[in-house]
Amino acid sequence: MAAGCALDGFWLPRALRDRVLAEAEWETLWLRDGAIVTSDFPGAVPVRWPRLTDPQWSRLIPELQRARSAGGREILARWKDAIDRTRSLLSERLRVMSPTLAACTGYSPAMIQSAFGLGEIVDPALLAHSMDSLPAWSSARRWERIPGLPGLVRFYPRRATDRMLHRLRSSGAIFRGAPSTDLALGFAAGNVPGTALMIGLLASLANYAGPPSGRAPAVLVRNSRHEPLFAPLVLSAIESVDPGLLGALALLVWDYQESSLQARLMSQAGLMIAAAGDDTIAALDSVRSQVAPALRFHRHGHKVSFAVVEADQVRLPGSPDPHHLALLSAVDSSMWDQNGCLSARVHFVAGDAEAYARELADRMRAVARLLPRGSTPRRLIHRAFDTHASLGGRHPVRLCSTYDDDFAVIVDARAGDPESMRKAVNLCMGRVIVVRPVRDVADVSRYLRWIPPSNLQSISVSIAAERVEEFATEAGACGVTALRSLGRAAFPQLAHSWDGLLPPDVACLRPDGHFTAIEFDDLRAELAATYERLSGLMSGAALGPLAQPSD
Amino acid sequence: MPLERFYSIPAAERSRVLADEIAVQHRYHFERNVAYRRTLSARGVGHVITQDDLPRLLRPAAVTFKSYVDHVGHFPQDHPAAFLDWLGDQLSIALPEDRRPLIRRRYRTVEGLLCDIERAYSDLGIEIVSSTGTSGQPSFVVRDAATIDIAIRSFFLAIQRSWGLQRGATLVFMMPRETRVAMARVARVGARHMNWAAEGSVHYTMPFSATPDRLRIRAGRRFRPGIEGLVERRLIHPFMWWANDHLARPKYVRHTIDCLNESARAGGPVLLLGGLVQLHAIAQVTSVDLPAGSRVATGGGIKERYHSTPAQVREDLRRAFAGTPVSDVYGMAEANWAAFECPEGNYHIPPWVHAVVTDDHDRIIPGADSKGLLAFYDPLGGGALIPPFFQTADRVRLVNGSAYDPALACPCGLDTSYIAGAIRRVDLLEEAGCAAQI
Repeated sequence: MAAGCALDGFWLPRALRDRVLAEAEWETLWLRDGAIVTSDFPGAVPVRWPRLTDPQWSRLIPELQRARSAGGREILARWKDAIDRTRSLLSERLRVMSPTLAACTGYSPAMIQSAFGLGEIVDPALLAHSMDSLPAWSSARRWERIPGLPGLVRFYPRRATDRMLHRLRSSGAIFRGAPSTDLALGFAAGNVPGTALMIGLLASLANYAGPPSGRAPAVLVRNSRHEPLFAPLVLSAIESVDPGLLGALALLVWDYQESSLQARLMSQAGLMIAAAGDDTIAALDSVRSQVAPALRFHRHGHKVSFAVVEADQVRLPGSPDPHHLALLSAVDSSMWDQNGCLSARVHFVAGDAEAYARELADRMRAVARLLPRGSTPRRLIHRAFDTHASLGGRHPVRLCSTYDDDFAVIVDARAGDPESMRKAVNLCMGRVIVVRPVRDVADVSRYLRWIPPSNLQSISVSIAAERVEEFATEAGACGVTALRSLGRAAFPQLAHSWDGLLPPDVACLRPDGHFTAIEFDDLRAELAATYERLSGLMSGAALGPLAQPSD
Repeated sequence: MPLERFYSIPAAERSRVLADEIAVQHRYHFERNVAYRRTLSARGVGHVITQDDLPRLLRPAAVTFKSYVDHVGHFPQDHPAAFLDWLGDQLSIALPEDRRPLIRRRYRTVEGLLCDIERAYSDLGIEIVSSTGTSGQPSFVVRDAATIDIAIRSFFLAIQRSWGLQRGATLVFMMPRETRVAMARVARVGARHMNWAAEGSVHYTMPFSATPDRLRIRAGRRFRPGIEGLVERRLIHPFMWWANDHLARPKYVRHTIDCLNESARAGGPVLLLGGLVQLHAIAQVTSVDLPAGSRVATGGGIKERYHSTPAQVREDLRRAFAGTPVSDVYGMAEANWAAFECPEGNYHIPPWVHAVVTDDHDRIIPGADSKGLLAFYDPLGGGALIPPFFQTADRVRLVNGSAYDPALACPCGLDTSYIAGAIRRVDLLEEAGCAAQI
């Protein structure tokens, strides 16, 4: 494709677009499989964005700030309305664009379409409930409901004094409103679609705790060079029905090395949200601490997630097929080829782990046909396979997949230690699953303690309903920030905890610590509903093999 | 066939000879080597192979001989019997069971265990070399008299062929005399076997031993469990860095400079070989005029946090040793060969090694000029001990590997496969999504 046909990897509101772009210089890059390639690379997709000069930045920021209109509550209501009105348009645009998104990101078109067909990551109505209901200190003592949201949340204070004294102030507020800001900054990285969009929406709520008449901040998000297309696609659809909603939002690209620009932006901003690599976050934090130490910074760095299954809990209510949950497990470890932080890596299984692993391998094969892996190197699967093949014979390690499968499922029943756990987690990339038998789900926390708390993300579960809170309490204490039902790992709800931050965190201040969320009310019902959704998406023909469980 | 003969075999014929030998060696090792058979059987490969099976013969170097500490889990010295079991699985010869009583139930150090194993099986002539282990997980590779001889001939033949240094040149190795690091071990044993020491001088300028335990602690990536590990982490590790900076480095830099000055006065050519960081320490304090025909050789890359890039270090070396060529050597513990950088800046792979590159899906990339992960079949290098068909974690541009194009032959005149340009380690994932490596 020629550079002249480059796709827009940025977004500016229509009212500013022509004016800003009139004098802009353009940067065009070619993307393929999530990497920046040369223009002659087969199938490379050209994308472009304006590179603004200092004077242009100086004009853009005030213009964005002048365009600020709606306040927090109104924003969410208008987002909900706009999403409802553009649902079919978005669907159509996504269908048309998915081959291009696939070429850029390296994920298969089927995976991209199914991800956005299955998930309702952004539900403005739920987000509004979350923003309006601030947990009290009592949530540090027990699991509490957020009105209007499914599930429960609990707060884990970091400071020893908070941990000791929270009982004395159980009805007191954890949150207090953050100062209003004129500008919120965002940084999106990586090639999993949707990050820039989520950051843009959350950042626009930075003044939510202020007076009802207040206005949302201008929002400037640095878009990911590795996946720059998805957010502009959605935003342009939203703008077509409510141009005023997005008047103060811009998605642009600049270099992390542009230190004077970054310092300037940070010094004007009141909130900064970054979803990026740990190194990038550390670099941003370093600039922030020098130029704007008071700037609130929400960090979303590299994370790992897991699945926990009680093997005797794998029969869905009313389902004749005990193998359905293996399909849900398979989806959890297939989405985004485990490049996403939400993908389950090690599966902890209480019960017959080998039978689970064999069934999981069968379902992974079915999922591989329906949601083909993308360009993630098959080398990763082979390394895991070889590593464990070489251990076979003398160690309780069993391969449940073949060298030619598009995934690896391995049962590793060796006595673990922190180092071997670390190795297992790191091997689980590119659709590699290590199944680790445990005597009881209560034993899982022993393994979780071997992972740095700052790296822990979510756990998708299928366990006895009456044990969910007990398990979640232990997992939360280890640093896990969300429990999701099996099959929902890659489809979180933004209204719940994201890396230990609740949505109100964007507008409020609170003591150090993290929230852990249980994202469901009735686990059995949630599992059944997820299975129904998957069935619908994957069509009856594709799910045919489910009726033929393996030996 | 003597290794030297391969230089005179035309490239096309060389491929055929090597292909036949790979099939023979595969069959031999498949029947005798438990670990190789286990891995290849799992991949669906039998004892008879076709051309299509070639990619499946390649075992990742990072998994195979690193796997003990990396994946079996415990330290070898804590469970010597288990380590011996593992070692036995990796070899295509049997380790006689009656020697097992000679191995203690536990050792304080890896070095102690390896020394006892070498003693217990001395009639087999085995020695165990290791990688630097800076990742915290060293490779342990066994060699015997035959494979040691191959490694030495490979090394010194390349010194002569690629760099024109002949017996009689002074060898200054900026490395410890006592170490298991493969290239240093080959240098030491080779200098003795090839009789270089008799006609010239051989110097080792690092006045301490570099055992696997010391290298591990110094690297600081993995420590022993419990109190011992705490002592390693909190006391020994920082002390080693302090001692290196304040005691060892000044001493070995001075010793090296003295050796070089002395050799320069003697007038004969000198080969100075060492790690980039160590050699850089010389370039930062002095400049040395070496006699004509001399060479400065670097090896091992930079495996620790360092303030200069390899290219900057080489530039500094060229400035410090003005008039003397500075070249690099590429090698690894698992390979019984090394690739020497020629005047054109290309790394020449010995002609008895069939080198290829593989793509991200472990398929061999065809063509005479390809980029991918370097893999090699060294049908002669493993002798009777190991099947030396390995995939590395190094991304390279390989010329005249999978196929041969005479137009691409290196202008230096050495007509072998060669690595052109930079060698990049890709054992860590390039960033894709937000999933962590912990």
